[in-house]
Amino acid sequence: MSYQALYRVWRPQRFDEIVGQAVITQTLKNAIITQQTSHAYLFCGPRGTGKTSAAKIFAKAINCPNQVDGEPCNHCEICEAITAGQLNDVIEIDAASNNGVEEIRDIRDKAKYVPTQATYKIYIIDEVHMLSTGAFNALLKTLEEPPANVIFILATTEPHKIPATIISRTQRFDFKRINAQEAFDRMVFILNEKQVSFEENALRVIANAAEGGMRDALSILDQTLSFGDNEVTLANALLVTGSVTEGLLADYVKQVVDHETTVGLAALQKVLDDGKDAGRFVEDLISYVRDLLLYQEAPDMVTGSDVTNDAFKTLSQATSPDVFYQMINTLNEVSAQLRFTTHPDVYLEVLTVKLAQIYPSQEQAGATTSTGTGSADLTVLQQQIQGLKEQLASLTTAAPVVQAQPARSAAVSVPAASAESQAATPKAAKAPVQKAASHTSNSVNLSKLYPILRAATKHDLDAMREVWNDLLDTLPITQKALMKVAKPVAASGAGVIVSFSYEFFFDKAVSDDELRQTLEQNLNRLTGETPVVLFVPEDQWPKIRKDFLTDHKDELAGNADNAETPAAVSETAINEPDNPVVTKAQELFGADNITIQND
Amino acid sequence: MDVTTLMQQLKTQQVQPLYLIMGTENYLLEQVRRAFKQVIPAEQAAMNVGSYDMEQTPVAVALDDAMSIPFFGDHRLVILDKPFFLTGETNKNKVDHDLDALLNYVQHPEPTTIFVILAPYEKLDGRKKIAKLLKKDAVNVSVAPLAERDARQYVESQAQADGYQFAAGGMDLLVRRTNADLSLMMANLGKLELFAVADKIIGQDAINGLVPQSLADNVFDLVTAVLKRNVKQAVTLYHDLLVLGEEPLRINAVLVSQFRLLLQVKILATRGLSQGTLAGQLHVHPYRVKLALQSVRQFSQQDLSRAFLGLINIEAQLKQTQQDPELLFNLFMLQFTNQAA
Repeated sequence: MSYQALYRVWRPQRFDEIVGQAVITQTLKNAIITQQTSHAYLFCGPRGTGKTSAAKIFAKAINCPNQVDGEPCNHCEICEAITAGQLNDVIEIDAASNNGVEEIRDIRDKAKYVPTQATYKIYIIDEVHMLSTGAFNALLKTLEEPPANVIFILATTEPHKIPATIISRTQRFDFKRINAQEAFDRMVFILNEKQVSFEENALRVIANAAEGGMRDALSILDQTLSFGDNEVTLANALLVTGSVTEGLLADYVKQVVDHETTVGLAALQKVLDDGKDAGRFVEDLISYVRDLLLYQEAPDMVTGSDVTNDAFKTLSQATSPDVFYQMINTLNEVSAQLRFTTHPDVYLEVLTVKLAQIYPSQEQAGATTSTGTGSADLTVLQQQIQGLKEQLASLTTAAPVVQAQPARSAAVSVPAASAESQAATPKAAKAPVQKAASHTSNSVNLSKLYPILRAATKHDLDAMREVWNDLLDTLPITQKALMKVAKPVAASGAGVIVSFSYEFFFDKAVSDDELRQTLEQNLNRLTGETPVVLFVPEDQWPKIRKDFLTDHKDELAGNADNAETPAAVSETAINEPDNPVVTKAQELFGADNITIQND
Repeated sequence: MDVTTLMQQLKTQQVQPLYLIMGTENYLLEQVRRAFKQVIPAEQAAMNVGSYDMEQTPVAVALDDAMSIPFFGDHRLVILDKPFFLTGETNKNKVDHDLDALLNYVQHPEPTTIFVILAPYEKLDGRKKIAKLLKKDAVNVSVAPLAERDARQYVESQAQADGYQFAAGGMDLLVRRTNADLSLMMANLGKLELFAVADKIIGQDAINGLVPQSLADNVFDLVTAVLKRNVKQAVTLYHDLLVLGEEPLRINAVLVSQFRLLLQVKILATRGLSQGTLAGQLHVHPYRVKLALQSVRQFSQQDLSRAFLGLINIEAQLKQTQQDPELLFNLFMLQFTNQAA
């Protein structure tokens, strides 16, 4: 008997021999077992994933008198006839060459006759996407209500070319690409059966090169076998898959990246002497450089023999992505130019020189070229750290001055509240009061408060008070209850400061991130602006305000245009008993007899 | 009247002379058609059931049929398919319909005939006299696409009736893969039940393996991968799509439109528009808006616009240069991830 290609000899004959489609084959088996077969199936998926095999096995299994658990016996007359393609009731049509209306009409007419030998008449229409529109329409009616005991199996690689009307009348199965591991296992199985020795790495290379098609994998394996006299070696596999020049490519790229023009030119000459096409070479270069780039971001993305290569790894990590981007741009230009020239060699040589002169842009240049491996990133990091250190140093010297002032003034003006106010400032660590623990965790963030205070205006506050009730209405009940004890005390375009009457609620609100987010979102919805919401406890608020005023007195006074600002802040304070006007008034009329009103 | 009530009435042989079934949910439409056909006993079906496609056959033929008395039975069933003349559409095939005769029939229907109009349209042209009359006189049944929740319920109860259950998360996955389209879900339910014939539980593995993902869904995954800066997943998906024979321009166009939607939703949502208003304003399906609102939360407007511009750039490159689309996409992904990092 003449030699048969591996993929034909080892075409699966049972459902469980189909690789990588367990769910689909199980469903088909169940359909046969429970006799719930559909009258039309659509198998789609990339080439070499088992569509036609599944269709044939299905034809056997449903007709086989000895089927067990949905699998055909493969020994009876019918099974053998189907395997050999001789059974009249299983009709395999290649739609690519029978794509006309006439052929489909023929099928339609013949489908009426009952099957002769088998129980079911099965039409397997391969490459069904090649049918013409007319042919599809002719098929529609038959597909919708086919005669009893007729099953259509349509197979295609391009399901999107099939009209929706056809798809909706079939049961559709999408075959998946076979992953490298499953292809590998299958090849191991076949080679063991054939008793051929092999190198595991060779099979891995083949499995990767096949890109999810079992047939491709077996074809390549076939070639490798014939190459190596019934032995599968890594060298042969690389040769067959065309990866052999990758070593040369790697050398070339390395030299170019290292700016060794002369050596690079020599390497180029060697590649060309090997008879490599110039255009092809440039394309290979592009994809190699792309792999280098990809390897930086997603190492497991890069498949093929490169990964095992240490030179590849170091090259990828040592070079800045910028260089690769530039290389790709240059390569693209050249590949466009190559189309119009009769002297590709010249272009390639110029290309080599150009590539060798690519330096990473910006300040990283020196680092990368001089120190090589991995140092580019390191230098940048070092620079960053240095910068951060300097910032930190300047901050630590400046900070005590800033912080000391509010603390001291607080101690003088409001002795009663001093403990708490200290807690509010970063110095709180040594605050003696037992409440301190809760304060340190939820202390008021002055650095966020001040910018808002600085820009605060009476107008903004009024606007905020106006929407405040609406805002509360938008909250869920629990949050609403919490916010009832709060009121806005200062506002600017950029933010609003909300004070809480009770410590407990303040703590609760501060620790509730969701609440703040909801507030900000809803405010945004109501006002159209995006204010930041900040919380302060009510008892601390007067002090914060006062500190702010003393701290920023000069600034505020000097800023004559902004005269509104301090006014707004002190306005908000009118409610507070320690306001001098109010205190005086209380002295005169008694605390109970005055109503404090903002206007 | 809704579909379930209609089905029940038909089962008990309570029939009216005139029905208007309207809506775009194909699956329900087919169910209704089947239910009507079952009203006529099987042995009479050949004589007493007539189905006419209005895009091919003039209405007069159907009316002739409708006006004759049933043969050896109580009822005659006449089904009008795709009555495009009730909508604003014009048909290319130029079938000459005698609408006055139909008007006449609708005013005086034969009591022994069940006259069913199956209109797979969203709405009829309300200005037309015949449409007005039908809305008034016929039994109106809506087969509009079900809302996500109803569709879920429908599928769930169907599965339960067949003795199956969904594993945790299974239903969500099915809904996501089919875009909550009832026809698709029901078509896939059959397969899923077959797979789970042994343990009667439909799990996520089965759904992943058996429910095909449309290009839009694949692209949806691709969008998520891009936004999450998952280079590996994005590049693999893109490659898969190309292997499946998709046009790069097409993939890119879908990506661009998805990102455009996300951007629009992002911007408009901050202006306080609700899901429904958004869907109305952008003229897209509410479910898409719902999903977009969910995913938009995780991304800044800047990221979205950067991705959008990058994709537009790819499109320009695809049209202007000879570069490999996969390379372009890879470069876009790498640059996008680097910028953000």
